[in-house]
Formats: sequence, C-alpha cells, structure tokens
Amino acid sequence: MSKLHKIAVSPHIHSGQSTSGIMRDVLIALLPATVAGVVLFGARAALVLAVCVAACVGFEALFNWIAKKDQTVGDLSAAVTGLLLGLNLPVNIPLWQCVIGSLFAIVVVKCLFGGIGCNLVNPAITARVFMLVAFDTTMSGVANYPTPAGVDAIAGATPLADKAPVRPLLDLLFGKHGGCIGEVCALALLAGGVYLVARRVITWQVPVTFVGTVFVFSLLMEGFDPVAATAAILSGGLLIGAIFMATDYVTSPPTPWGKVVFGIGCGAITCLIRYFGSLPEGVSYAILFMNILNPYIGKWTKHKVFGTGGAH
Amino acid sequence: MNQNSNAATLWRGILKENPVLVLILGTCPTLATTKTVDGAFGMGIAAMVVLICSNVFISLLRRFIPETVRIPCYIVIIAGFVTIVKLFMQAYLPDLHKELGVFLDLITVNCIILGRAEMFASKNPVVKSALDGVGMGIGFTLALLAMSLVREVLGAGTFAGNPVPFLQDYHVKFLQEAPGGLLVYGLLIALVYVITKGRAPGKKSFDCAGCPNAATCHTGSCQEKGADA
Amino acid sequence: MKKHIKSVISLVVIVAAMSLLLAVTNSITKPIIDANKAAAGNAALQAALPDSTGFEEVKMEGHDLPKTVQKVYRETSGKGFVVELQTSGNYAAFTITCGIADGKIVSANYTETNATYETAKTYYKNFIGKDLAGVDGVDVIAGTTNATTAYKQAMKDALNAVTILSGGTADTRTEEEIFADNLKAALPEADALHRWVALKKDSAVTAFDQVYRAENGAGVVCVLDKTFIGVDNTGKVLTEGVPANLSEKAVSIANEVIQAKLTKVDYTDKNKILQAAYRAADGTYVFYLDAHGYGWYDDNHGYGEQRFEPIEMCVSIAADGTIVDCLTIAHKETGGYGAVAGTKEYYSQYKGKTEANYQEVDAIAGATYTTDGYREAIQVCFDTIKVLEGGAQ
Repeated sequence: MSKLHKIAVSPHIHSGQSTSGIMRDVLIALLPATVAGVVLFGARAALVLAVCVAACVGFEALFNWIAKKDQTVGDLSAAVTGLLLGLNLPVNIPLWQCVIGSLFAIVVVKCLFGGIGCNLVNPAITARVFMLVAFDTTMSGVANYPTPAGVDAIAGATPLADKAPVRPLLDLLFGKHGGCIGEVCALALLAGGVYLVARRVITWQVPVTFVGTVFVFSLLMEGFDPVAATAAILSGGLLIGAIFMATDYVTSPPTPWGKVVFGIGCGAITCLIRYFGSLPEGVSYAILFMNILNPYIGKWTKHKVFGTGGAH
Repeated sequence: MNQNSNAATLWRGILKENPVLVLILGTCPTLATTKTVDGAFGMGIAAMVVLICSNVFISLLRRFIPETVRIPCYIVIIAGFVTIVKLFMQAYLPDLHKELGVFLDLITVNCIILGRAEMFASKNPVVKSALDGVGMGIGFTLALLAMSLVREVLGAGTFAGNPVPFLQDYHVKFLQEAPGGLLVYGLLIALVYVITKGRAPGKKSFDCAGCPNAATCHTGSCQEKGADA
Repeated sequence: MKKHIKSVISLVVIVAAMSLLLAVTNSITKPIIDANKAAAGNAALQAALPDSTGFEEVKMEGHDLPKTVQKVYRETSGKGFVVELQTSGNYAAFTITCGIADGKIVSANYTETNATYETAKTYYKNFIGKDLAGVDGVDVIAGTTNATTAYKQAMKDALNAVTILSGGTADTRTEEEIFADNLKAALPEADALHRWVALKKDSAVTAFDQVYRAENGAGVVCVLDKTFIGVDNTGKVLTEGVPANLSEKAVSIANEVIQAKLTKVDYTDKNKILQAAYRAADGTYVFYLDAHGYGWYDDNHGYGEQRFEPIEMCVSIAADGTIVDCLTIAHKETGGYGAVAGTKEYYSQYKGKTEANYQEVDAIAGATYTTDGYREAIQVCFDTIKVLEGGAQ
C-alpha cells in the first residue's frame, strides 16, 4: 500500500524513530546559525545555548518520570526546543531566566497538554513571548543588545528599534549588528532553511509566503524602496521564526493552501505590529496568534475527500 | 461523617466542595485580588462576612420569600450586606478599602454568594446555613491565599508588601499578570483534583431546582450518577 | 392576584429591612469616614509645614503670581505658608509642595515627578533652610540642567509668591529674563543680540564668558560673571564702574567688530544646518549652525522622526581656511554624553584646525551621533565657503 500512497507527515502520525530523524535534521540545519552566534557573541552564547538545551531535556525527562510516562527525550524534540529557545535570547540574559523559560516551554506548553504532537502552540515561540512578558528588562530594551565581539563600536540599538538610516545589507547578512544569538546572521539561517527544504523536512510554502508578505508590506511602507524592504526581511527574528518555528508540524496547517494562508497571516500580523504597534518586533506574537488560529485554517482549507460528492 | 451533619456542612466548603477550586465559582475576584497576599486575605474575609450574613438572613426568611421573587430578594439582601461591609471597611480599614476598590462592590455579584443562597440557604435551617457560610468562606479565603502566595512571592518577590530577601532579584513578573494568574489558577485546580482524588461533590446536596445549570440542562443526568462516599 | 400581592409585600418588606440596617450602619461610620478624608487631605500640607494647626486656602486672584504657583495655603496660627507648584524641565515634570516660614524654605519636596535621573530627584534637599539669596546660590546640576533649573526657579517663585501675598513686592523674573534685561540695559540701542565669536587669533573674546553682537551693528555686550559691559559702535563704553582691564578688552572686541565691516550673506543650506552666515571685509566668515544632535533624522533620511533638539553652534573661519573660534551656544542634550558638546573643553579644541585636520578632535566617548553631527556642521562651514568663493555647487 505504501507504494500507492505518498504519506506526508501529519500531526497524527508520529513514530519515535521518524521523529528523531526529523529532529536530527533540524538540529543540523540550526548548526550554521549556532556557530555564527557563538562566533559573533562569544563564549557566553555557547553557555546560554547549552543551558537551554540541558534544561529542556532535563525538564522533559523529569516530567515523564514524575507522571510515570515513557521517556521521550530520545526523540530529540526537547533538544530542538531548547536550541531554538536559546537562539531567540540575547547573549547577556541571566541563566536562571533561561531555565525558567525552558521550564515553561517544555512543561506548560508541551507536557501538560499531552506531550509532542498535542501542543496547541509552538513551545519555543511561546516561551519567548512568556520571557518577553516576564523578564522584559533583560529580554528587550536597547541597552541589552551588545555589539558582537570584534565589530567596531556601533552606537546602540538593534536595526528595527533604531529607526536609523538603513543598515548596509551585508552587515545584516553577516550579523554585524545587535540582536539575539541566533537571529543576527541571516546567511546562516538561510543556509539552514535550504537544507531543510532539500531534505523535505519542511515545505517551502510557509517560509516563502511569510517572508514574502513581510517583504511586500515593507515595500509599501518604505515608499517602494527595495533596499529598505530587503533590510526589513533580514532584520529581527523574521528568518529564524519563518524557517524554524512557523513550520512546526504540530502547530501549522497540513495542507499546502493552509500553509499559504498561515504564512500570509503571520506576515501580515508581523508587519502590523512592526509598523503600527508600539513594539519593535512582531514575529513572536504573529506566530503565536496564527498557531491559535491553526485549527480553523485547517478546517477551511481541508481537501475534499476523494469519492465524496457535494459540499461539506 | 454524616453527610448532613453540621460538622460535614462546615468541612465541605473547605476542600471537597471548595467554591473556587472545585465548584469554580467566583473566579473574577480570585484573579483580580490575588496579586498581593493582603488583598487576597481582605477579599476573602469580606466575602466570608457577607456570605455568613446573607446565608443567615435568607435562611431566616426562607419560608417568607415567595418563589417568584426570590432572586431580586436575595440580591437586595446581598447588596445590602456588601454595602454594610464596605462602609465599615471604609471607616476602620481605609487602606484595604482602597486596595480592593471596585472588587469590594463586585462581591454582590459573586457567584458563590448567590449560588449558596439558591442552593443551600433557601432550603436549610439557620444554623446549618451559617456553618455553610463559614465553611465556604474559609474555603474561598484559603484558595485566595494559596493563589496569592504563589503570585506575590514568586511573581513580585514580596510578601504582603515586604520584600523577600532572596527573591527580589529572581522573580518572574509573568505571574503577576493575567495569563500568569490563570496559569496558577489552573494548576491549583489540578492539585485539588489530585488531592481529593477527583471525587465529585455529593449529589445529594444538589437537585435540579438548585442547580445553576437547570435552565440549559435538560437531562438531569447528574441525578442518576451515584453519590460519592 | 394574591400571589402577586404576596410577592410585592415581601419585596417591600425586605427592602425596608435592609434600608434600616444600612441607615444604622451609615450613622455609625459616616463621621469616621469624613474624618479620614479630612485628615488625608491635610496630610500633605502637614508634612510640608510640621506642627501646624490647620490650613486655609489663600485666594490668588488680584495678585500677579508666578505661573508655576498652583495653590497657596496660609497656616492658621501664623506659622507660614504652603505653596503648591507645577513646573517641568526638558522631559521631567514636577509637582512640588513647598513649606515656607519666616521667608525661608522649610520643606521643598516634590509629590509627583516623572524625572528619571536620581540627581534631579534629590536636588530639593539643597533648598531647605534657604531664603531667596540662598536659593540663588544653589548650583544647577550638569546632566539634568533643565530639570534642576526649573526646580530652582520654582523655589524662587514660591518665596516670591509668599512675599507678594504678604503685601510686599518681589522680583518674579526668571533667570533668563533677568539675563535678557541685563543685556538690554547694557546696550539699549541694540535690536537683537547674537552670541559672538572671535574673528582674530588672539582676540579678547576668550577673556569673557559670553560676548553678544547687536544685529543692527549698534555694538557689543561682553559678559563676565555678573558684569555686563556694553560698548557702542564708536568704541565707547556705555556701562559705568567697569574695571580698566575689562573695559579695555571689551573695547578691543568692539573695534574688532567695527573693523570687520560685516555683511550678511544670503545663502540657504538645503540640509537646513546652516542658519545664518556673515562675511568680514578681510574674508573671515562667521556661521551660525544647528548641528544634528543625537538621533536627529529629518525628511532626507526617511523616517521623519526628530529625537532631540539641534545643537546651536557658531564658527568663525579665517580667509586662510583656519577655524578661528568655535563655540556651542546651546543644546538640549542631557545625560552626560551629548552634553559634552556644550563644554568649553570640547569645542575650544577646534580652534586653529583646518578642513584637513578638524577630524583630529577626539570623538565624544559614547556619543557617536553627536560627534558626527558636530563634525557635519563644521564640514558644512567649509563647503559653504567653497560655494561662496568659488561659485561651485
């Protein structure tokens, strides 16, 4: 039967082995961004990432032990959540806050809802939003984005918070500006994304429509200046969010058109927050919001079941 | 313990039928006033006083109030007692009065008080009603205290306004906000469920006439399920 | 029907019973509540003027009180007054309650402020026990200049208000008004007075704190500490009682200006940095500029958002392309970094520099944009000279 059907990975079909294979691919795809982050921000970045991964894996193991369930850390999903969360944090975040964030991501968002496959929203992005609310002074604010080591003193803010004259695109590509550990080096993230699409772990719809919508919106808002629009898509958490977190199988629609709707929705909300809201960054909230709408998108873009006629 | 004895009535409201954590009544003041321990304690005691007074009064008048106008009567009585409590608080405890603010007035529409009036005080003698008020009030206060302990100590690093030495630098502000409050609330409900092993409140104390869902539920199926131990 | 009557009766009875209970409660608690309210209202005033028995509000109509005064209370046993003021610096707003007894400030604390700097918040302590002269002697704090200047002025206003209400007369001018009046008195013929720089290398301008030139050529005013020396355009010293060495220097400056035969140059800078330009007969130029301070972005840069006020500067450049003098007239920078641009140590470094080497002046540590803005303004001066001399665009 498997010769006739192309079974795409859906939210309801997980076997422990295939999950870990997929997660391994995601970890590999995140490797360039991790390396870039450590190179740009120094040893403390590696420490933050290590603490996040260790805490996530540890909490999942602990929860499974207390709740007398099977150990699921072998499927590497906790490690991926930990790495993604760490890459979304600024390098000088206190380590105890990383641990609290990991606790929230794994226990509250994932385990309490039933473990992998049952979470309503993406754990890493929700934990990031939680930390933005809980630890606002250390998570955001101009003073907390240190300049990457080795780059000449840059007067202060991140590219988006600055509202400064547009930074040179090469700086944005290679990460010569302030920001979170994983989000500054656009080139590394793009490389990871290409790898994931090539390995068929993710499909192109969500990242392309997400980034595309932001590009078009920015184009309109910046007076049709393509350089400024490109800078807008290379800034902030957009690439890491679009490639690694919006594409989470559990929390994004399964059908291609559903993914397109999801991507456009994320992009639109991101831009609304960036340009009309009082926050410099909207990606986290946009993805969270679309995660919550996910069941409805799935319902609206359902494939017609083959063999049944008429509307439903 | 005899289900209908006075002692049982008293103890019921504290854990097995805790109004906030089992019956899920009165969630609005719960979430609003549990940011600080003194606010929570003040609200709990105020609600308890109103509950006891209104239970006693309604129980005294239970044969006198006709069925058709019982809700307006209950509300007049409850609102009257809330105002009395509020005036006394304004005179003798002005700081607490300022801290509770509008939520003191909202005790009037607190589901616990109207619910207990409907379900218990209108059908039971005075002493039992008073004890029910005491039990439910203590249960309410304890639930509020538990929530506010977590929310203030871990959320703001203080206890009743006094800074806790270690936690001043290590608190999680999220718990002071609304989403954090809901999270703590949910976890407490789960905890109580585990402690009481999920046994539902005794069905003998309900009947369809007293159930708040009577208008929408047409099955009466809860009547058919067995009572608890 | 019977049922309805019964319902109505029972409702009425219950309402009556509850109303009775409420009335009883109210009679018990009302006096206490009212007393609490009265006590709370007085608490702030009590704190300002301790050991007082009571306060009554004083009517402010008919008196010309300073604008910062909101309310005045007289203490009923004659101890003094409490004045409530509202003032604000650049960004910090203060609501101040000031207690005054025997012409001295007893307490001067603010009740509300949105000031961020701690130094601005503790500044009030300097005024306790001071009278009008004492308040004058309190220094403002660099780094929160505007906030502390406003506070100092508010203190003076409070003292003046009490004086006026007690039937006396007071000088309610602000420090800026007093300064402007002194300038006018020194040179009555002048219309508008602009800050002036040296035109020659060893000019006497450096001997004074500030030098002003009249727009209409009526002369100059030289200011040193509290001395204002006015010299008219014939070189005659108008102010009396000036020490000889100072008046000599003032006259030399006036002669400098007279010999320069300044003409105003008609030039509009498209970047709106250059505000006015003057040319002396010997080819020296004097420029007035609004340099881009921190975070200034105008329409040319896309976001149309201006963050801080510009830095007003004046630069004089000799015919050989050397900067003769440079000074920062005013700025609204706060917080240390940008404010460095306003210090004499910084801007006097530009003296003697040329277009080739003015960049050697060290950047201000931690204030990249301010330095860039300052340098940009200097470059505009040199570019303008090229345009005016060479006719190139």
